[in-house]
Amino acid sequence: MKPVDHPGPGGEEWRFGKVALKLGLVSPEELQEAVDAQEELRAAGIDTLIGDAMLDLRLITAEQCEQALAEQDRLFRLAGLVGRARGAPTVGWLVAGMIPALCHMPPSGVLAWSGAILLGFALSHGGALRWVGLGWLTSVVAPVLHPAAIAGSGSLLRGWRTHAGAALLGAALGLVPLPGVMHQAGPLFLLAAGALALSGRGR
Amino acid sequence: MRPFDAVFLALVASRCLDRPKRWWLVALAPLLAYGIGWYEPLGRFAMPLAALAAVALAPRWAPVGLLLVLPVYGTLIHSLGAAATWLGLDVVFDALLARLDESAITPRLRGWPIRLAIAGILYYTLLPLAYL
Repeated sequence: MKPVDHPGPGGEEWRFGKVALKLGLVSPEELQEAVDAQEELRAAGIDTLIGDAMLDLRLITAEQCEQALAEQDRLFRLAGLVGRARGAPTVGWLVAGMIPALCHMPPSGVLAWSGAILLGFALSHGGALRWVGLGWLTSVVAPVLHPAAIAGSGSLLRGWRTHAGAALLGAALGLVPLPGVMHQAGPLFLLAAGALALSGRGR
Repeated sequence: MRPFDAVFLALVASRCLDRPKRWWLVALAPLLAYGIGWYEPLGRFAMPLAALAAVALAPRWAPVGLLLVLPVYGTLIHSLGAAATWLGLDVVFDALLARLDESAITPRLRGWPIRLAIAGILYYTLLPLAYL
């Protein structure tokens, strides 16, 4: 039996730019224009999505963007990446922010963790190994911390907003005396689901 | 952090990242954390070494591996249990999501809210496992 040729993660056929190209929403030249604009913004420290760059350049309309996103979701499902979606950065910092509460860190640990997350934005910028190094250094200063607590949360973050958001959420959940049930992942997930639904940032 | 919470946190974190080809290697993270953590001569180097090992297992899924080495695994059975629970949940979570019909979900809940709600419900469904 001939194997089904799913677009796997290696092929990256589900990338927004490639999906828009496949659907005929943009030409290869327009895609390159959007990629260039995205790279310029990234060089200036502004993390933007290729779809947003295309919208800003008026290469696609909002309806076409939705069309490409729906196709992208379909390809995610085929590739076994069902859960990966546009809201991933938001969920990334929510998950990172839950770590101090779930680790039952003492106040000094929470402050060291938050400081490391903010410092890490300047020093580590996405590299997991650098986050491990930063986590190890921080755990030397604050021995109550596990280096993986900093490295695990830090490597989930992209951009200064997510770093600041995770540091604030982590400090809030870790320092405010919350009932014991709030130090478990289940209730925090349900709260996060409610917050995302209300804010409309869950897609 | 309890192993049970770490497993769920890793499950949600994994859905924010591209899945590497050898994603299942991450299931070894709890075993590494247990093995390295209980090797006394390493002393204070045990924790950073466990973190490095977690990154090496699947660099693209480093946050997932790192979250799985966070808990203190008291026994080998605990670490094996965490690995098995994570692998099982990974399959169950995707199976549940694949069965969801978007049109049956209110628009505000579509996307991540429903995924997180499913993770929360699975958490409470499997909570007795945390006390084994």
